[in-house]
Amino acid sequence: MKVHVVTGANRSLYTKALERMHQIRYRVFVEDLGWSDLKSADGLETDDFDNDDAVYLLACEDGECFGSVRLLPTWRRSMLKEIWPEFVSSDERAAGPDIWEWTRWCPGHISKRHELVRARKALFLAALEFAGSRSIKTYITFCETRYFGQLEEIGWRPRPLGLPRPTEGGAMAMGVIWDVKPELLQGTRQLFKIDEPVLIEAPIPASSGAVIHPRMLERLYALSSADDVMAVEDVLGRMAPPPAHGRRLETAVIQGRA
Amino acid sequence: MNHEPLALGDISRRAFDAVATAQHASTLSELNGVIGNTFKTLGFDIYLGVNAVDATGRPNVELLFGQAPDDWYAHYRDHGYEKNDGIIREMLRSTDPLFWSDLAGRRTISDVELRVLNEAGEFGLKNGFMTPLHNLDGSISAVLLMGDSIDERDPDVRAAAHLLSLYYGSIGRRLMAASKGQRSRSRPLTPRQRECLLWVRMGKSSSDIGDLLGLSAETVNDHIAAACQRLGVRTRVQAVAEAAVHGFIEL
Repeated sequence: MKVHVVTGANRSLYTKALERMHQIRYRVFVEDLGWSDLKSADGLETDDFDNDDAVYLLACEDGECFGSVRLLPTWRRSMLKEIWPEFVSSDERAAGPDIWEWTRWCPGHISKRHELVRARKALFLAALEFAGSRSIKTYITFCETRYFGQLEEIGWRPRPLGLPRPTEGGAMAMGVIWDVKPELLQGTRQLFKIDEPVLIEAPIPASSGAVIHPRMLERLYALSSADDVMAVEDVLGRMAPPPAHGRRLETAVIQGRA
Repeated sequence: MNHEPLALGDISRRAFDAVATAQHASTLSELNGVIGNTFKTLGFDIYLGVNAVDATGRPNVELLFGQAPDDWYAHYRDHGYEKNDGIIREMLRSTDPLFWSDLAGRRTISDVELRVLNEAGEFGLKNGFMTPLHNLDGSISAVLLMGDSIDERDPDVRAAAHLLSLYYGSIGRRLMAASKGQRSRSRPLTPRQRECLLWVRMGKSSSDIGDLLGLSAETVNDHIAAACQRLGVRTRVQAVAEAAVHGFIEL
């Protein structure tokens, strides 16, 4: 299970996967959890925070998206601040350039239980890897207390942002905040017994040069031997005209196309 | 960056401080000291972490940590109340916390369930608050708080009890797992103990296992008891689960 980073810049590569994400979100939040205020005619769950600033981590396997989480840069918008301010009573800073918010945590649908379990682990790790790539020091989230134990269980030591209170649906929820330290990624990798990075960020498609499709990127990252390098050269040759001075793979790496 | 924060009441402040300190606790007795004291200030003299369903999905009610009310607990076990406890039933069927007094509002209570609640009152445990913990490994635990006179109508009391219970339960389970891990890392099972547990897992009785391994049933029981000791559990079913968790046997 790998996790793709989808931003406003590269989302054109992920149209089908994003649609699948909205479908799974619909099944989980509207159909299973009964959040009827998110109902829609087309079976896709979207809200006001699904905008260009949102970053999606999509857990994918064999080209299919199974789960996702939506991360919001809190200095732009924050669900906790805008929708649930009464859940925040702590003095802690809950918005800023190094603070992002977890929203629409949806590791998958229970009908694909094994994939859900794999996607959940991959998404937890991906969020930590993503934090490294964006200098994120802190995550916040609005969390139903029934899931709180999971964060504590994986050793993330969340702190409360306020006392738990009942949501409209009746379930208890609270704002939580936790720090992302380098040891956290190592520790979580050990806990899940996953040694290698899960995160894949596809380069932004440019008007010149070949587009590297995300599936291709997954295969590239899975390669590891010298024979594989020949295979990659071959693939790249078929996708784009060779650069004038040879050494296609090296050039592609430099140009951020691999 | 923080503007017009909600005024932090005394209960909130106490709860947040307790949580912050508890996260640094490295032993159960430290944890009991920090969070336990805060439970007491809310009126809960009794606070426990209990297990209701183990990781293999089997119902198995046991005390994990905390201050058990000895008299009540003995009475409870003697009468086998774990089979008829309405609160335990709520642990399994819901992820929402509740005061015992909320139970009647949720569903009809059976006569036996009512008797269990009333008898608790006779032992000085008139009020109770339960927070279920549905864990990642599939097990179901809970934190039980009990006392004699709690201000159930104050929403901050309910909220603080719930918050502290969440932390007490999860930190408590983490500390317990760490101490068990330390114990069984240095004391793995002997081949005989492992063999016996594998047959237990297949549903064999001690005399069956004795026949299979060419031992007497008593010897098999001894091996199983020794395995339970090493794994820090009380029953053979728990031993199978615990051995699996540590990778000593495969499920």
